[in-house]
Amino acid sequence: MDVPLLSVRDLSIEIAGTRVVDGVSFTLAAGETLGLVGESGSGKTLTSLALLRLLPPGARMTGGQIILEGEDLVVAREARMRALRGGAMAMIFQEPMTALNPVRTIGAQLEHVIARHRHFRRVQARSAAIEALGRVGIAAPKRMLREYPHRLSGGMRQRVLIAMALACEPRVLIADEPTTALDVTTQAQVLDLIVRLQSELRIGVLLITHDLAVVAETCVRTAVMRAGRIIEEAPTAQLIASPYEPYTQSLLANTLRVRRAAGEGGTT
Amino acid sequence: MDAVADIIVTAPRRGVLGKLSRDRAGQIAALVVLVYAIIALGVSLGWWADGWRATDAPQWEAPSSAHLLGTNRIGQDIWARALYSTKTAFSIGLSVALVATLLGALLGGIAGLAHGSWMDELIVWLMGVLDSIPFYLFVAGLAFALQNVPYVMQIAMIVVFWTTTGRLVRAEVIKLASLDFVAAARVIGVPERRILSRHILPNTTHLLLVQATITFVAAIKAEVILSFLGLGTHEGVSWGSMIAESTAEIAAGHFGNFIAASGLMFGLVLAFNVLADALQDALDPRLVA
Amino acid sequence: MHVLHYILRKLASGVLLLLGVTFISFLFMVYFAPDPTYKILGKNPTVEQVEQTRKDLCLDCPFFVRYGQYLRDLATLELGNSWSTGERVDGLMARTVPLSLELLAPGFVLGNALGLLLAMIAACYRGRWVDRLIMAACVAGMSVSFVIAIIAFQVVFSSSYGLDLFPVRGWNVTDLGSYVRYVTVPTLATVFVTLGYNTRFYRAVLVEELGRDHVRTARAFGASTSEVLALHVLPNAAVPIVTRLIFSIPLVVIGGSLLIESYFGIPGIGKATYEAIGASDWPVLKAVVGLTPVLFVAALTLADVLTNAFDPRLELR
Repeated sequence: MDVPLLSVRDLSIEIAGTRVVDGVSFTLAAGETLGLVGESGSGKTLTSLALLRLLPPGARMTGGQIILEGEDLVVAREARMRALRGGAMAMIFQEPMTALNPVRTIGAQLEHVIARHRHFRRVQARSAAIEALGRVGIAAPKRMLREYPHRLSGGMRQRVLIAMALACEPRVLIADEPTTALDVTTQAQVLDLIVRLQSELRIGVLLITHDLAVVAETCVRTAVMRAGRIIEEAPTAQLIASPYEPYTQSLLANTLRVRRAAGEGGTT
Repeated sequence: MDAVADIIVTAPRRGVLGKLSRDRAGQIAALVVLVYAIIALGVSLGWWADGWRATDAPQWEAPSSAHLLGTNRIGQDIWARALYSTKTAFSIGLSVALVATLLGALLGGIAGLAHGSWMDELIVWLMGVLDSIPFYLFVAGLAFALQNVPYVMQIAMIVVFWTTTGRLVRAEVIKLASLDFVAAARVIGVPERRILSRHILPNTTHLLLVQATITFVAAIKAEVILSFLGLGTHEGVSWGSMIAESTAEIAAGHFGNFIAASGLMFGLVLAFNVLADALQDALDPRLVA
Repeated sequence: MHVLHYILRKLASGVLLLLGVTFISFLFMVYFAPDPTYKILGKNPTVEQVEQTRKDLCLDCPFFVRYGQYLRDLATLELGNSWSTGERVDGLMARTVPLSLELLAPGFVLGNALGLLLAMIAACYRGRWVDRLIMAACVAGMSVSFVIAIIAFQVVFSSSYGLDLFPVRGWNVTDLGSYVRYVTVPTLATVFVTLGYNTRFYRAVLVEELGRDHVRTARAFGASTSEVLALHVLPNAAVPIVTRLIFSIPLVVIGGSLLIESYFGIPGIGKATYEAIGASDWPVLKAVVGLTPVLFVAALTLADVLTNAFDPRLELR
C-alpha cells in the first residue's frame, strides 16, 4: 500500500518554446482521491493529458517521469499506451455534451471500448456494457444502448462517460473538471457517484478542478497549481483550515465567500 | 449606440497586419501580383508592348533579341502579346471581381437581413436559377442577345459569379443579424438600410476581400476557356486567345505562343491563389481573436 | 410518409427553380434568336411555305402561349429535331449522354478518391512537411487552367513530340482495351485539374472533424489513428463529403464535358452542345438548357435526403 499507484516526477511541458508546466511532481495511491486545483491556464489539464501522452499538437513534454505501477510511461511504445488508455488509466473530460460521437449509439461506443480492453466478444461486451451503465445509476441500461447521445442530458452523458471509463476496470481515473459544465444538482450526483465507485473499486482518482468546494467534498489530499507549478500540497482538511501560500488563501477566500453568500456553511 | 457597433466593427481587425507580416509566402505572392499589376498599368499607358499588333516580322521565328519569345504564325511578337494580355487579364479580372463582389455583398446582405421573408426567398431562388444555367450557354446566349454591347463577356461573368459571394455574405449576415447589437439598433429605430451599410456589411469585409481575389482568379480562368471555345469577346489579345491560336501551331511543333501565355497566366493565378490563402488566414476572425 | 412529404416539398421548390431557368432561356430564344423559318426551309421558300411554317412553330403567338408550349414539350420530352442534322433530339441525347458519362466517370471517381486519400494524409500530419507539400501542390494545380492541362497532356502523351502512347482524338471504343486507350488522357487532365480543389476541401473537412471532442475521447480510450479515421471522422464527415460529391456531378457533366469533348473530338453531349451553340441549333439547346436544371434539382434533393438520413440528430422537417 505504500508503493504509489501513479508517480509523477518533475514533469515539464512546453508550447512554442514557453514552459507551461514546470517541474510538477505528485503521487497517487490506490483507493485515494487527489485533487489538483488551479485557475484556467494553470496547466492542470495539460498535466493530465501528458499522463496519457495525449498532448495537443504544438505541446511537447520536455522532461520528467510518469510511472504507473512501476512502468515508465514516457518511454513506453505507442501501442502500449493505446492499451493503457481507457484500460488501466481512464480519463473523463469537462464537456460531456460533445464528448460522445453523435452518429453512433451509446451501445456501439461503449461496447467497442469494452471489447477492445477486456478482449470480450460481442455478447460479453454487451452484458458488460449493461452492467457498467447500471453501476452509474442509469435506470434502463438495455434501452440506453440503443440511444443516440443527442437525446441525453449533460448529466446523463457524463454518467455514460464515467461508465465507459470504469467499464474496463482502470487502476487510475483522471477526471478533468467532470462537473463544471453541469448544473448544481447534477454536479452533486456525479461527484457522489465518483466517490462511491472509487471506494468500491479501489481506484486512484485524480480530480482536476478550479473549484475548492469540490475538492473539499471529495479529495483526501489536494495540490494547488499556479502558472505551471505546484505551489502547495497537503491533506485537504489541513489545506482549507490553514493554507500556507497567499495564493491558496485567496482561492479559498473567494470560494468560501460565494458559498457563505449562498447560505451554505464553511469548510467540511 | 454606434459606439457599440464600432467596437464590433474594429475588433476583428486586430492583429491582421501582424499575421500578414509573418506570412512569407503571402508577401511574395503580393509582390508578384504587384509586378503583374505594374506590367498591366504600363501596357495601358503605352510604356511597353505597344508593338503587339505588328505583323512585320517573319512567322515562327525563334526567340531572339528582337523578339524575346519569337513570333507567331502571322509574325507578331509573342512576348509583346503576352505582356499586353496581362492588361486584358487585369481589366477583366478587376472589373468582374469588383462588381460581382459588390453585387454579391449587396444582395446577400439584403437577403440575410430579410431572412425568412419573401425577399430572402426571392434572392435565394435567383441565386439557384443563375447557378443552374450552364455557364457557357449563358455566355453564348448573352453574347448573342447583347450583340452590340461592349463587355458582354464581363457582364455574363458578373451575373454568374456574384452568387458565390452572395451566398457567403447571406450566411454571415444571418449570423450577425442575430447578435444583440442589431436588435438594439432596431429598437432605437435605425433604418434597415443603415443597419446593413454601417453595422453589418463592414463586418463582412474580411469575407469580401478574400472572395474578390477568388473571383478575380475565376474570371481570368473563365476568359481563357471562353476564348478557347471561341465565345470570348474582348478587344486586343488575351492569354486565352493566344492559347486558342496556339492549338493550331502546336500541331506544327511551335510551342512559343502556348508556353508564353500559359506561363504568364500560371504565374499570376498562382500568386493570386496564394494571396487569397494568406488573406483568408490573416482575416479570419476566428483565428485572429 | 414523413419522407415523402419532405421530398415533395423539396421538389416543389425545385420546380420553381426550373421555371426560372426555362423562363430566362426561353426569353433569350424568343427575342434574340435568329428567325428559324428560313433555317428550316432552306433557300427560296414560297410565301405559303413560310406562312405555314410560322404557323406550325407558332412564331406569332403571344409570349406566354409559346412559353407554355415549350414547358409542355419539355415535360413530355417532345424535343423535336436538330436543325443541323435533322436527328431527333431525344435520340441525340440518348446517344451522347451515356458517352459523356463514360468519359467523365473515371476522372470523377479518381479525382475524388485520390483527393480524399491525400486529404487524409495531410490532415493527419497537419503542419508537418508532408502536409505543406501536399497543400503547395494543390495550390499549384488549382492555378493551371483546364485548357492548358488538356493541351499539355495531349502533347505529352499523344503527340509525336511527346510519348505518343495514346490516340490524339476520337472515341473508337469497342472493348475495354480501346476504352482505356481513349479515356486515359482526358482522365489524366481532369484529375490533374480537380485534384487540388478536392484535396483542399476534404482536408478542411477532415481537420475540422479531427479537432472534435469526441475524437479526443476516442483517443483517450485507446483508439489508433486509423480507427479514429474510420469510426469517428469519415462517418461524421460523410455529410459534407457526400453533399459536395453530389453537387459536383452536374457541374462536371455540363462544364467538363464541353471542353474535353470539343478538343478531343469525342461525340458526347458536351460536343453536341458546343456545335449547337455554333450553329444556333435551338432544339438541341432548348433540350440541354431545359434538362440541366432537372439535374441540379435532382442533385439538391438527393443531397438533402441523404444528409438527413446520415445524421441521426436531424429530423426531416
